[in-house]
Amino acid sequence: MAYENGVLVYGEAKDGRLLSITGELLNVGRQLADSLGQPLSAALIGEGTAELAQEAIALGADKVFVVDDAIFAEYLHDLHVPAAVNVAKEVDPYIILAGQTASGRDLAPHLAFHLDTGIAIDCTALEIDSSTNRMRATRPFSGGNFRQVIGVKTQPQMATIRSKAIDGAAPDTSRTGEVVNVNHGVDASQSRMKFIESKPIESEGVRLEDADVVVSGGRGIGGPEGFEGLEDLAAIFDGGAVGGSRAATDSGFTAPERMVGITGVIVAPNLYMAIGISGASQHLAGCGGAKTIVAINTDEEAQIFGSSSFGVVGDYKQVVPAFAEEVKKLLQG
Amino acid sequence: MRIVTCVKQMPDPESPASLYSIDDVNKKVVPSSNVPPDVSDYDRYGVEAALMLKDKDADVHISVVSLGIDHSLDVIKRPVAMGCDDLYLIQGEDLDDPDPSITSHGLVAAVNQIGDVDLITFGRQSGNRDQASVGPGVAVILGWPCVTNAVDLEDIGDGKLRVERLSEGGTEIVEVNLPAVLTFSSEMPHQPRYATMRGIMQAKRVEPTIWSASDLGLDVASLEKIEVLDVFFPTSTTEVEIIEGDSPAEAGRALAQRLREARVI
Repeated sequence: MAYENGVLVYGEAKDGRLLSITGELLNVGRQLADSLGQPLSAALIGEGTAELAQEAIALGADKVFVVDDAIFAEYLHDLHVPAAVNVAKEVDPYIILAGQTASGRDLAPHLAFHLDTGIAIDCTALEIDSSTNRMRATRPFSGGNFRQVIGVKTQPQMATIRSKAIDGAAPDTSRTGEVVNVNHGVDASQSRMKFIESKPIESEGVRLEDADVVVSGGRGIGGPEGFEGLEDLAAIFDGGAVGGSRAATDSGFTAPERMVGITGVIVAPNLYMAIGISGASQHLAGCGGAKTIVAINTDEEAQIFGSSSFGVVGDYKQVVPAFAEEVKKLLQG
Repeated sequence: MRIVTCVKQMPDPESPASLYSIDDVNKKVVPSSNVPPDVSDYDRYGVEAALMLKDKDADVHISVVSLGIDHSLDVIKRPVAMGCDDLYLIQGEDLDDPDPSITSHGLVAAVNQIGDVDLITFGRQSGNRDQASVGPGVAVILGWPCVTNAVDLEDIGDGKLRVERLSEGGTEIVEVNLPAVLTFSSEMPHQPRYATMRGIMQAKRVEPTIWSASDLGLDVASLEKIEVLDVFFPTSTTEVEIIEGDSPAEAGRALAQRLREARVI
């Protein structure tokens, strides 16, 4: 019976460390497993992941299934999906969770169809219905305009979680668990896809998703030259980075990888400044985790004000330089 | 090369949430009659990708396939007006924005009916469900490789495509063997093209092939894998504090001081 096999989460690692989504998955996975009174397992597929198994145990896993092979150094669909399917068949869990990340959003729906089961995508909360012992998965949809609770009718019940929607587990190094090495059974020579090269974005300073302060511009910025002023503002802050709405990136005002939103980067900085951004729900889904949102917009009816703590109604071309100058003064003083 | 590009008709995504109501019995959000139908935004990029291959090779044939309950021909013919060749609709009361499992099996049945398909393109996700599951589902059912979140493509011959796709922190280049499934994101080298006058005339003449689920041998109910238990509007708790000043610059300075006072900076 799969029920006894509890919850399996697909962790993610890069450059020899677990990514924050892994701690988030283990935290919510632990809660579900405890509600069911069943174990929590983690799958770690990658290169050098054997060394991270203890860390996953400290974050809440009872059992870690390790697939450690150089062929998994980069996420490649045609290798990772069959390896993930093989782990799922070995573990035979009741619930499977993955992250809604660059690789997880590719892996998870494929895995669901391979296992002939249903999946709730991009969830912000998961719980067990104590009367049925089934998972209730809450997710925003329609660009964040509405919420729905999904039940998966088939087993294993699957879900992906939005990054930064759930707190990461706090490590407890006294926890003990079991580590199982899994024979992944994947023959790389049979792959129908070949990885050629990666084109990382050369960016100076902090990564957008890690930034403490994000200064974002939208359609109202008017063009690429306007973004120079936003760069200057972001540079004043320690850990500042520049983002944009989809309207700004699709119009070429700023680089596509700077898009903050449901289909771009999800940020959760201390301060998020939305400048000339109307506040479409798909954008808000990408910055809703910010501690404080500040909006600057000429349109006092703009939706962004409804999600902001502070706002200025006015032309950013006049507001931002004075704001930047004053911030500089305050930070120096 | 024979390409199928899959498009979804959905309510206009620019319409505000206030034009929708909640149907608690059927667990759906229902747009008011003021919300016009549209082609799901990302699907236009899947159409554009197919047309980019056709630009380089006139022998490329592109079929548009859509599954749903009540297609508006004006809307669903837009990809044909952009340059696609023909149109197939899978329609029925039982296909009202269904579960991705049902949609995937329906599209696969249509692809099998069309026959000899080399490539299927999609948008990365629909604009009203955001599930990003139907492209992968079609690929798994057909046993084809799938590249998701593609942003550029090139036919390099020898039955292979070179595809650029979004990855963590940038993009990556992969080569994929045909037949394959690709889903497209909006970070493409250019925006989807507009319909041409000639395309619009051409689209008027195209008669869609229409199938029901049972025409395609689908048992819809047996394919459903997820259910909606509840649906609701998100509650907003934020109350905005508008910072004013005698001039925009004054307001900017006051904002900085207020953020300092609130210990935000």
